[in-house]
Amino acid sequence: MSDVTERIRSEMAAVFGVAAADIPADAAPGRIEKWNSLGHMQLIVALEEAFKIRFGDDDLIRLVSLPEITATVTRKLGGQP
Amino acid sequence: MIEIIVPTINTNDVDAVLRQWVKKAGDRVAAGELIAVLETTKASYELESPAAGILEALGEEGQSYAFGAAIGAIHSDEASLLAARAARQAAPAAASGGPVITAAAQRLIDKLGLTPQQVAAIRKRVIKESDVQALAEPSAGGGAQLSAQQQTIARTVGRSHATIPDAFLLQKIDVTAALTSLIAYRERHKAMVGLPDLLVWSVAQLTGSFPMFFGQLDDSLAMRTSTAGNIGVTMDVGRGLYVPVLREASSLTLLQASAQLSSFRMKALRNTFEAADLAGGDLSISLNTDEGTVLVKPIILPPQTCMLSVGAVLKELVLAGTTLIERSYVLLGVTYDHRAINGFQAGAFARAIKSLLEAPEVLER
Repeated sequence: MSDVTERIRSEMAAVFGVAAADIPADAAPGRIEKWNSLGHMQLIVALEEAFKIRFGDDDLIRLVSLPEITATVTRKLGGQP
Repeated sequence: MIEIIVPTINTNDVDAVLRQWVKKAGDRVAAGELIAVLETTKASYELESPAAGILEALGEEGQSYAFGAAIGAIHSDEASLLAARAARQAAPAAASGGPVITAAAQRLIDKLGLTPQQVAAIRKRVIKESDVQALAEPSAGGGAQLSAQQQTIARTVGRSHATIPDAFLLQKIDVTAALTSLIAYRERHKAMVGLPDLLVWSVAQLTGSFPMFFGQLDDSLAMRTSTAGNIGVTMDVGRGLYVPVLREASSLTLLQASAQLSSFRMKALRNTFEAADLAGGDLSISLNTDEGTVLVKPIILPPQTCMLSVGAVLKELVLAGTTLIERSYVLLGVTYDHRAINGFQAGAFARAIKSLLEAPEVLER
């Protein structure tokens, strides 16, 4: 598991109020109780602050799983997609 | 000097028309003597003088005045009347066709050194001392003036409360199947589509069936309906309340509607809304989905006739035959303008929304 994924998982744990260990590799909205529309926005804000990145309008609707988020954050950090 | 105040005549109206001054300005009147006739939507009302003295008539015949507004004054003598007139003539807003400012209010304005712009912000036809006092209190107490955005909200909320006699209906909706279907829908379309998106989009499908809920009701009680499905949606991510309008939502797919709402959420986050994003709604929806929020009873945004609200997803155990099962539900609030809509229609509208949300196959339309 990459360092980026672990950091994202840590942010998710804080936003959704669950243990990081309970967030599966394929975590997605609806499968974590608080990952709803509002929780999604809160996660976006937390990730932007944690990684010092800025998501685009189109990113928001496409970030529907932990792998998708990891790929997008990695790309914005200048790493491999 | 004693002000002549429009009394609270009934609970169905918020204002009354000054139909006629029975006594003329400058007349000497006795306490309890009939001086004017007011008219509400229900009946005429004879206004009696609150004191003996000389009548100063400020209100104009044919104009509407809110309950509590001052439409004139009774002066004990000529000197008091002349002083009041002089003070009023010195008030620039009144001279330019602006609000009438009572003498006591004008003295307080002068004392506080308020600008005409600050006085105009009171937005009343007749400005009383208490109005000026209320305006001055924040600064007198060292508090901060509301932000421009919050002042806009304040004006809208005030106008809504003052002009729209609303009624409210609550509908329980089982969203268990919809939530399950949304998980599959998101995975199939690789898109973050949530229950609020589904609600907004579903409501937009009902424009043709419930025309009185979509459009604008003007002051003459003429309703201009719209089938476009321009739906305002409240958004507040802690950076101010906005109500962007999802345009022509009745002709969008759920995925298209959700993408537009996502874009709005980002604008709410970045504080980058443009005026065009926020104008022209036919009906609005107040989303209050924070955990534990059962429901918020919203206002109606004038000149619309309805605002819906929805709270967080709640859970309950229900008996299915002999088995207890967990069910997810939301409470849908329908606040409607009772001048245009009655409870029968509101109930039918709420049930139609419930039917759509409880039928997951709606997602694939």
